[in-house]
Amino acid sequence: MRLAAVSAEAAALGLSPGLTLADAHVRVPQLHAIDMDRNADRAWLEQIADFCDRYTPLVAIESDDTLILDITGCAHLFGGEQAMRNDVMARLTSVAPHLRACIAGTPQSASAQARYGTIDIIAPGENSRAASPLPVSALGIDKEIVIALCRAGLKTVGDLALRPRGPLAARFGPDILDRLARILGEEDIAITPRRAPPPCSVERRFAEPIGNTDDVLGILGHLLGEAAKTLERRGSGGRIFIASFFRVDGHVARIQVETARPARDADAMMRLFQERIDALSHPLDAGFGYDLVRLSVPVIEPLKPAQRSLDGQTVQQDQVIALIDRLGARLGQASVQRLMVCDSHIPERAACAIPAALAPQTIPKLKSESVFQPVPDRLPPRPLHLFAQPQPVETLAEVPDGPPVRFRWRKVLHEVVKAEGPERIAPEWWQSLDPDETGRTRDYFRVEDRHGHRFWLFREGLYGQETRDPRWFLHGLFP
Amino acid sequence: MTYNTNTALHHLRYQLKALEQRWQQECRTCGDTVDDRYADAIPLGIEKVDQALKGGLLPGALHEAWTASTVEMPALSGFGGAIAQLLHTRLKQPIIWVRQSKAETEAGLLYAPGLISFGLDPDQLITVRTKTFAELLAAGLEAARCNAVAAAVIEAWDNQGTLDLTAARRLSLAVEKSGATAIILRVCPTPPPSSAITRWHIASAPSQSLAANAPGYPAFDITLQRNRNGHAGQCWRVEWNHDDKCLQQAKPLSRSGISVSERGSSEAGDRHAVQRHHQFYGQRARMSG
Repeated sequence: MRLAAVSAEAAALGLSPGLTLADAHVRVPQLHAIDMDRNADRAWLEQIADFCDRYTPLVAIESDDTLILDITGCAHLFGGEQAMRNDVMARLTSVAPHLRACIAGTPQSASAQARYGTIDIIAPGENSRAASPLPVSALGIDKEIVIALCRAGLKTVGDLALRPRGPLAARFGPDILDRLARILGEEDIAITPRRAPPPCSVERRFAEPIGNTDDVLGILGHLLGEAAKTLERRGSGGRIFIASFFRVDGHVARIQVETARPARDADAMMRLFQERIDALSHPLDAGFGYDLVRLSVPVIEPLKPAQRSLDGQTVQQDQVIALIDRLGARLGQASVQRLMVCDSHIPERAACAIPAALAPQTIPKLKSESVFQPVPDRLPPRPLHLFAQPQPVETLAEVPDGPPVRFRWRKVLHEVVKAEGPERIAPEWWQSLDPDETGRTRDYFRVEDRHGHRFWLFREGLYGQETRDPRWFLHGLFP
Repeated sequence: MTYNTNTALHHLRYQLKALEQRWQQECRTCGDTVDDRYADAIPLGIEKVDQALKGGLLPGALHEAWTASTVEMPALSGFGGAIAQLLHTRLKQPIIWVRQSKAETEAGLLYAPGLISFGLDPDQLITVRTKTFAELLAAGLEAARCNAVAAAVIEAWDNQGTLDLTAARRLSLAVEKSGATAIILRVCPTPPPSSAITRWHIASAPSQSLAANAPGYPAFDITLQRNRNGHAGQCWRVEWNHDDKCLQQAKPLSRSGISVSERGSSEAGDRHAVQRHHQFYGQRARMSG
């Protein structure tokens, strides 16, 4: 076991990450070591990143301990770079006491300065001068290369920058030159934000935190109205709407609603948000109050003003889609489903359910123009209810392939008086020759017992060819 | 010009008012306005049943069908599906089917090819799966409030929570307001009081054999146990004709010992049948008393 991270006090005692735990205990007997929990660390960093969404939509997690915020064009909203940095430090030092922050022209320059340097804000054009006193390890290169550079007397970035670059690349590879260029501000690459910046985003900041959830939801209504105007100007509608409530203590509640087709009507969207909020397992907790509410629309699609047809069918279709949205907002989109027929002859694979919101173009076709017209002559009858897992039954049946005479299902004996079959369904033999993988041939029977209950039973395996002792299953129930 | 337009408008308004008054008077002389509602009733297609229902099932109302045991569940959903399909044929609107995910372990999934076999177009069906009973009620209520659906079918299993009188009242108020039709399918030993305008008891019935002794059209014994606007207590054996998408009266079977009244006594060993028999006659006795 090795040390993964050390506190400032431990570092002062000479401990460093990478040291074995046994060695560390020898050096500092009273050492207090805690198991590392990467997931918790990550979650905590994500939480801080969520908090940082208030400064800019472009927040990236660079490594296990670094966040990069692209504040291009955002700083003036907070009264300049210095004020913005002060705000970050003031708000975050309570949660992250060892926080260091630096504003610079390139992400690498800022991150190296925050880790190894002392400068808070690097003015434009000052990158190379600010970076020169930093140690070469600030480049983020392998340890071996750092050691090799130090042995050659190149201890700082400044030393390296003065050298001709050709020999450096020849000795240590082209990667080091890219890193050097980025840290010196000669090259700028874009960061990869955690979330893509939404095409439409509106927000409202409050001078004082608001503790009343209803008031905050009222603000959300206003924001939806503003977003609707923006979307209308662009001739588009949103498919996903996310409301983020930033609490003063750093907690961020994100509530997402999806719609079955592009929408921008503020009242309708507010109703969906209300449904979603009502259905939350942890209701919105204002705590010390919210100081920022943001509404972002990450997915937008063209939405043309539609002409209403005179027979009112469009209105009805709209109502059905609105109903799907409301149910989806309350129960989750995956719970509102449309049943589809799939192209497979294996009964359990012949059907699937897809979220109704994902298939708006085929949803309630008001005229019956389905591809899958009921064709009872062609399609053998299928049960109305199908068990996902066929249920084993004890059966008395004729060998080799007769219908069951009686069978016991859920402890009740059913005596078969009518039967139809077998309908032989072969396994997917082209997938594999091993019957354990593909399953065995099934002979399906549609049977009716004395009381008029109708079942769909099958025998798995051909008697004498595939198995000696075929088993019987109940797979479905007919009305 | 303005004067002329105004007088013309006044004249028209006056005529309209007169027409409305005359219509209202006619309604009053007819005695009841209920008949007016029955103009849109959906006939089930069987003369005797429709007579008992005064024309057919009322749209914009709450209906209820129940059965006691799980094994009868397919018959219940068959009846519910049949009614929903009849409503769909009339209204050309989609059907919403709300069920709890636990029902899938008890009675299986709703199966799309099976729906086609049954004569229901899966494209016209939206299914809602809920985790809890409270969600089931909320989703059912939401669907009942939407008048752009032909029918809201709500599957309520008694072992998962009770759709009690309050919940049923809410549903009936919602459908009265929206004009949608809601159908509760209950699986419970004894149904609690409800505000539904009709209550049916459904049981599977032996079907008419096809060639080679194959099971035929799905057959049910349907008992009209409660009827807000007419007589109740009758029992019919009906078949769902999935080719023509209509209910039809089952032809009497040639086999003996199948008629509803005889079933209970001839199959004394079958507890369900006996229970059904008692419930049916008990209900009847209460109705007449």
